[in-house]
Amino acid sequence: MSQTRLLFFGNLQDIAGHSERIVELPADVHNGADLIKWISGDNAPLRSALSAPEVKLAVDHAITDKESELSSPEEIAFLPPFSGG
Amino acid sequence: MTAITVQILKADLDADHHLARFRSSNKNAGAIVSFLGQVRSENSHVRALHLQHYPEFTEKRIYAIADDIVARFEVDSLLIIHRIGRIEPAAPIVLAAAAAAHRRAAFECVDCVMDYLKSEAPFWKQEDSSNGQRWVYPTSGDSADLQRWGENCTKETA
Repeated sequence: MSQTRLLFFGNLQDIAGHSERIVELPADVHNGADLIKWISGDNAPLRSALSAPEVKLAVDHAITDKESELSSPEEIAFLPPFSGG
Repeated sequence: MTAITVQILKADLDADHHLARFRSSNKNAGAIVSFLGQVRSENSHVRALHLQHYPEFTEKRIYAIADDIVARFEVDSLLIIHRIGRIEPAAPIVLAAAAAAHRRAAFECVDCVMDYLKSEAPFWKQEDSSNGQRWVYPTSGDSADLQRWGENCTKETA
């Protein structure tokens, strides 16, 4: 089983309690929505924050729909709205 | 072919130094327009901003945005330097500069770059003020600014 690095940015790291986590994705995690359900477990605020439509998912640096199938990603980042400049 | 330079800086942004270098590598340009964004103190309430980025991804996204933007304006060269880390009031947070044969293209290019950086570049900003800490999000004004540049933009659709 390969490992996947999960990254949380902005306010999401406050809610998750960490900025990074290494996991082995269970076989029943097929897409981003499944992943959110699995990693948030009983943490309802985390589940709702990660599921928010304005939170994007970057899978190996490509912005991906939460319903798209994951194929052994090395890195998945949860990106809240950007605020540069 | 437009030369694009993107830099993410953890240390202080010395705008004079970077602009002098930009000018010396664009001696044939008829116009150089630059924008320097500084941290506002908001009547001394703000102690600092903390800027976060996603290493490699942020650089890639800014290059992609810059590529799309330079295709729309007649510019020879574009420079984007953005700070990360802790930045105190009055310190520079972003420098954008464009060199072109004529001023209009350079003005518009820099204006467009700034609108895109505000809401399309992967940075996250936390404000540390006398009221505590809060994450800063793009405003409706920021999205209205972005929409000025029309449909042909680099907005992520996902």
